[in-house]
Amino acid sequence: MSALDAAAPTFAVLERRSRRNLVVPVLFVLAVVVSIGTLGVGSYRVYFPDSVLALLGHGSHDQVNIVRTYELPRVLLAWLVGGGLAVSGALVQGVIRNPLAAPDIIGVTKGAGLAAVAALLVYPSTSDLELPLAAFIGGFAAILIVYVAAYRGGASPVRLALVGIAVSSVCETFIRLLLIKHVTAIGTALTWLTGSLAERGMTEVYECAIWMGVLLPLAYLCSRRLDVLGLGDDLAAGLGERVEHLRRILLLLGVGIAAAAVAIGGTILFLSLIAPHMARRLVGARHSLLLPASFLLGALLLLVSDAIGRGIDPPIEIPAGLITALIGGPYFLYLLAKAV
Amino acid sequence: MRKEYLAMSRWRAVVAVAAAISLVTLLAAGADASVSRSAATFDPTCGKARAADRTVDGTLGSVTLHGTPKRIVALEFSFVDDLVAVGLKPVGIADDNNPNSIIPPIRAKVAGYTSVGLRATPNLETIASLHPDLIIADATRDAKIMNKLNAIAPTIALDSLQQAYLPNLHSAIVIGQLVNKCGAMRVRVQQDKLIMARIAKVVPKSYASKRAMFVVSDKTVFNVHSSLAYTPSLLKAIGIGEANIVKPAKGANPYIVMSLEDLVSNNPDIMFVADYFPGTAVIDGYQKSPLWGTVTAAKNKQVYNVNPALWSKARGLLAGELIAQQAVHLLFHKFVSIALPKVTSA
Amino acid sequence: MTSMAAESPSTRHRVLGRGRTFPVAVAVIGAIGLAGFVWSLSIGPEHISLADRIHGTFAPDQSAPQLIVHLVRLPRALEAALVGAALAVAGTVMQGITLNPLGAPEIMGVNAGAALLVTLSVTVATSMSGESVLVLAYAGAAMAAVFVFGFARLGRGGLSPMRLALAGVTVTAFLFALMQGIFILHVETASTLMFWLVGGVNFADWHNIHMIWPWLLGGSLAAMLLAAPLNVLALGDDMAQGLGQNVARTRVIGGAVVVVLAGAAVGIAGPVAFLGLIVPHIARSLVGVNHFLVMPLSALTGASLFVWADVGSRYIGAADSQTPSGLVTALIGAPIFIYLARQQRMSS
Repeated sequence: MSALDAAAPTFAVLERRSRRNLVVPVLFVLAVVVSIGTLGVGSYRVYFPDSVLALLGHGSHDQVNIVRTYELPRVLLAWLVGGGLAVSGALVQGVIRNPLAAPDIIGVTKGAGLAAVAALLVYPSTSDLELPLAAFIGGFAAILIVYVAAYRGGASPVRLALVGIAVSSVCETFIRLLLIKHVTAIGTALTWLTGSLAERGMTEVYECAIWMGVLLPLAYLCSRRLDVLGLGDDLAAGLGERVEHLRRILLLLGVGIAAAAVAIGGTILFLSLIAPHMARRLVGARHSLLLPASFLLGALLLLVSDAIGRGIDPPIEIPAGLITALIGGPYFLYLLAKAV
Repeated sequence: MRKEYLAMSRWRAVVAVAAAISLVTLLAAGADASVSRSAATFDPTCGKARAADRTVDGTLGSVTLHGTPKRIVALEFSFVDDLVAVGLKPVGIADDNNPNSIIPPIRAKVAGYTSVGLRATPNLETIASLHPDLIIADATRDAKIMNKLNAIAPTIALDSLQQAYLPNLHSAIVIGQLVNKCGAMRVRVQQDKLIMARIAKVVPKSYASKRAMFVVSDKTVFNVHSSLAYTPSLLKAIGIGEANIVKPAKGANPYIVMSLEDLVSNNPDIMFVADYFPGTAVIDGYQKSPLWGTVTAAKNKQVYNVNPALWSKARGLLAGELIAQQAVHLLFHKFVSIALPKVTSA
Repeated sequence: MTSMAAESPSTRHRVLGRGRTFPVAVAVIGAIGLAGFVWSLSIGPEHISLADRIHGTFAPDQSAPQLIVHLVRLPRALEAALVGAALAVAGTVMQGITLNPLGAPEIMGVNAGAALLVTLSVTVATSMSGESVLVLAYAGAAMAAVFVFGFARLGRGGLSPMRLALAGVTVTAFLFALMQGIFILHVETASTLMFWLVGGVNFADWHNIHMIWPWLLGGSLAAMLLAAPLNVLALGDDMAQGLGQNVARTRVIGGAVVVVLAGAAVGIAGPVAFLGLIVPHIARSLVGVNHFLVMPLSALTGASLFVWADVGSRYIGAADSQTPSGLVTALIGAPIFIYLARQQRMSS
């Protein structure tokens, strides 16, 4: 084998490429398996294969009801929210051309968080439908502020990230201020801020699916543009791209996806940062593979995190965001140690 | 340069417009939402509420029940207390996963209940698996999940959290209507008033103008509950005056953070202290200060330590009576029975 | 604006020129700080006469007004000054050893590390008090600093501002996520810990000051001793090494100084925002890059700024309830942080 590899590097490249093409189907199968495996992991345990039978309508009334009303939406949302966050992370990392950037960092997450917390605390009767709207508006407002503040004849990736950090910390401060002033809802607000799929149902799934159904395919269509942008501003311009324009559109797309995910799942940390990383290690930097792989890895991570959160100490709902942070934090440190 | 400047000013304009739109949307959403929360109306005659099919008004809308609910889930401690008061036992309680947060006399009566998790995030799956026929939720904390709860069982949202003594009594009456024990609950509430009157008799008239302060202290903050909160309003109901010079606006945060100077300046005559960390809390620092001696309550040795679980989060019928009983016991060394008096007709 | 930007290439002449402004800067900022200090002594719900304020500050009798000045207002103002100075000096040292204008303790996770362990002590190890909590704060700060050092050692000549900032922000986010997790499971304590998390000197007393001043004094002296090595290090790692400096040792000592100063400040006042980031920039914009001048001026500016922030905190928010003074530094610091971020070079 090794002799063959050495003798025919072309084969090795081909082999690697085909292996990369295999990654996405393998991840998909894995995610489906994990989805089925974690279905029924909750305070009311429904074990496999009863869980699947219950999903299909066989089994006791309780089993069917629990699996269909409480477990299925969370599994579906893990796909949509986790996958969405990961794709938006890949987009933002592509635009900012830094593997450490993520919607968390350029201000979107915290902006959405601030708006949602304001809605939760200042107007306590905000409905389920208004909360995502508030998060959405907050996310966009934050990125607009970041973009304008970073704009000096073009928004350089570095300035976008740094200004994003600054705006994020500002939002964080205001979130804390709101929490001090409105003590009662602090538990609810903190759960939302950590990011959780608890207390979500099919309504949220449909809401999220509409956004993701439009935005994710759009992102996929931009794969090649992202590849070109990755070559650097000058080269991209040389290839006929209107760099600033493109950056604006792709950023907007990334923010839209992140805001839609945050609106439903809360500010789940680290997913958008680490999932694209893992994907890049598996399939390389080409976005036509990177985006689907990121989506699946994000979905996988959130599936596992949410299952741990709801299954480890019922009836306590440990927010999935806390688990993603526990996974993502150390992984991130490992990345830094390896000097990306 | 000029072109750049123009581009920037255009973006600024976009931002301004976007910010304005978001602000207006948020405000509009808020204004719209706040209208839907109306004070619950209540029919003191039990009239309609006695019927097998009945509609009962809660703080966030009404609920229609058929028959008498048997399996009830309570998402606040005070609702558990009120249910126990009419001889019922909830099947599920949001107890923050710690049975000890329910006060002992109530805990003894609800043994065997299922915990449905944290009050902030009750576990819907657990609630659903209990097959409740009634869920009693808090109008503030659980407003967000009302439709999810309603999908499980008829759910009513009542005032408990951050509410004063009277709204909590009102919640008890509504609970009576819900569980088809309207008459019994009205008797029980009447008894509560009689017990409070009995306790109030021990309190000298002069105490109405005394300034009693209820403080919750932990390691980082010294929190004073204002008259908008439960305990001070209850003390007021038995004739013990309240201490805050500045009255918070209605709907404001009923918890006030005070520095030592604020405390000296408010100069309460009496202090009830719920100390979560005896020995290491902020108040313990205050007590070591020479300034502590200038506070009237300290000078007169009228600073009393009380149980945080009972005094700061229980809020039910029995809990209120226990608080009142403890208050006069601490203040006057008099034991007033809270045995239920006879009530002929409500 | 260019004269304000610390990063703009300054010629030797301009640096020297700024050096001459040092006494003026010290006098002006000192006067501003003193004015804030005096004003701070006059604010509170009790009306206290000027005579009582003066007596209360220097020689209190046992009367209530003088005791209030001596036991509440004076330690509050002093604690504000000490915490402000400590965080500012910590920021200066941190920026010096990381060669990075954004390398402040609050950006690099040092404050969050201290805050996490203090949070744990309040929620889990509930019997801990005063001194042992402070030790925990040091441990948390040290833990975070070790991470940062781990990163700073990677790559030659330190990381780019962007990478270091991203790393720090991510570590901070991680630590705050852990704190939020603790809060959710301890809701009763969470509501009050939020107050502490914004940071402030609202509950200052002499005990706190007695507890931290030796650490702050030691840390500040050590920081002054580091001025010369930091000046050499500012030329870059290679140059510093060429000039015979033990770069690694400077960094380790600097890191220890940051841990002591930031840990003590966070331990008593909570993770106050932005002071360590913005104050060194203000100081450098006034007197140039010489650490012998920047260090003391940072301390003075940090002290003045936080005293004024604390004064400001009495005038915002509800009239009857305390507002954490850290809120004001966050409000002042945020636009300056955005401005500094905007100034960064295009390279990544």
